[in-house]
Amino acid sequence: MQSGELSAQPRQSPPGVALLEAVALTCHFGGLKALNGVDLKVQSGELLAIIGPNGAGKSTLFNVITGQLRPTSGRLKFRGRDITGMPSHRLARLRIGRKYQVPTVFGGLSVRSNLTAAAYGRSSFGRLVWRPPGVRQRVDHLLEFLRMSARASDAAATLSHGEKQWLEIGMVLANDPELVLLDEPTAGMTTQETRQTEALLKELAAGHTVVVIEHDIRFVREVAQRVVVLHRGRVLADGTISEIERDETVRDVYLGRSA
Amino acid sequence: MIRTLAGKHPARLGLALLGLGILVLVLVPLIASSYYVSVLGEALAFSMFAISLDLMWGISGVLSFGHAAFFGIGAYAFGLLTQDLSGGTATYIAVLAAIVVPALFGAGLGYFTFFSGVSGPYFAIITLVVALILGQAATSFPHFTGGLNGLYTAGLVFEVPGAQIDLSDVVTLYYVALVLTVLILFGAIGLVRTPFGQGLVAAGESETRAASLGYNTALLKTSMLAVSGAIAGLAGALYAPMAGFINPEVVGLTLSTNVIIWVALGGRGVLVGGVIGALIVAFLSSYLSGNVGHLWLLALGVLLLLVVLFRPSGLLGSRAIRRIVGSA
Repeated sequence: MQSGELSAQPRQSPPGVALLEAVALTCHFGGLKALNGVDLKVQSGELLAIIGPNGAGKSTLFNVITGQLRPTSGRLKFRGRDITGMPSHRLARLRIGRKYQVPTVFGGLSVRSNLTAAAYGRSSFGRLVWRPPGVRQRVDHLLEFLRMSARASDAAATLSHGEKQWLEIGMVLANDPELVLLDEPTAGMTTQETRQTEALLKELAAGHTVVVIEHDIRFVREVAQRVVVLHRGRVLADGTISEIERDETVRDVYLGRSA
Repeated sequence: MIRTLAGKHPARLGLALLGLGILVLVLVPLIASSYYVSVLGEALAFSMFAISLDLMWGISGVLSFGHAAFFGIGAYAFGLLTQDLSGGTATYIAVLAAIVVPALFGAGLGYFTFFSGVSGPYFAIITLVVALILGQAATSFPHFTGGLNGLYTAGLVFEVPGAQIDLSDVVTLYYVALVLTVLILFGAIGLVRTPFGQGLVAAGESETRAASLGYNTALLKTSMLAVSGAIAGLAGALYAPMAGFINPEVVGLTLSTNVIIWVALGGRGVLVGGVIGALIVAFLSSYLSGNVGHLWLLALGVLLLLVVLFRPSGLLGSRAIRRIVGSA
């Protein structure tokens, strides 16, 4: 019971039902069509990378999936259940987690408190006041895993950029969602930091379904099993990395220019 | 000095300083005149009030600009219920009402604001208006509230099993205030250390982020507003017999502003900061106003200005002290 509070409890989706499904998802800001009919299925257990030029709608898609934005039209389903327009905290409680592009750790809280706060996030109200046992050990493990035990009582605001990114990945692990959305986890990192992040992500992917937005094609080649290319609010291509790299249209709008 | 000590045994040093402070407050009635005991007693009631504001402003990151509404509801609930019924059970009921009514009011206010996404300056404005309306209501229904003349709340006796607590005795009232303040302070520190409190600190920093971890921030903030209201109401009930009478000032704008000053001065987000701020201002106002008359207000203004300029997080607001005091 106590460890069940935090450890993964994979629920079985009905057979043939995708973990996450977007149907004709549209999101307009005035005249701007940030999402213009996105159809996308994410299967349980896969690691999917979303690439695309700036303004393609990648972050908007994440914002809609995590409830920060309401779609203009279209539907969003999680394990076959309609979740369109649900508030953020309820989506998090369904175990949809997110790591933001700019690291958004709680700067005034210590490193340990950040992880603890993430670990308790989905708890019921009663458990927030009567803290259940087992959380402390779990946070200790995470601190070791992140190699941050020595900095546990430092304020998160004092961490370096890379450390903040890792702490935030640690918070996602502590929160233990089933579907993890990662927005540019290696942005602004040195090569060595990126390597270390790849290791963290592989750990994350072992127990979770991961959708990652990333610009770094080398990184995508390294981690992703499937790649979706977004362009002007639509899915332009969907396949393995070698299929995507061979695709003429993709080369024109994206890879050709940046690679 | 404090920084290095705090580095080694932060919790122990903080507790030692706090214990020393409490010991001094326990000994005050033995050496001070009854005038100063009554001044300090009132300052303790205001300290509890400051703790209640800091739970919202410092901990949850939501400024209430009309927090006297809760203080005043507590004071009036206590005053009205002790008007016709004398002593005994009536005082119990009055104290209970002074806690429960403002708590429910806080829950209601939170429901209509936080659950509709009201936050930041808009919440401050709404609470300001609420305090103004309640102040006006206290003035406009003289048959019920005594109007501008107020309610007489002196000479009450509180009966507990086996003893009577004479609420007109200055020293008795002082010790009641001291015990309650210490209990509330430690209770509040404990509450902030629960995952509930930490979730609120997190939501105060980034509501979006806290929500995407699963925190129902509106529910957390509403619950904290109810707790804060209960504490403020209890402080109001404590203040009523000290002052001997209550009038619309206990629910109005001046007191709402004063409590913000106490917390800002002592240190926002450090629960004991509001206590220190309230004590400093009480001391300044009684000591200085005796010597320099109304110039003391100028002195307070200058002090506040200096604090805001050079220690924007308040006298106790540095990270090192925040750690030894143990909250957030």
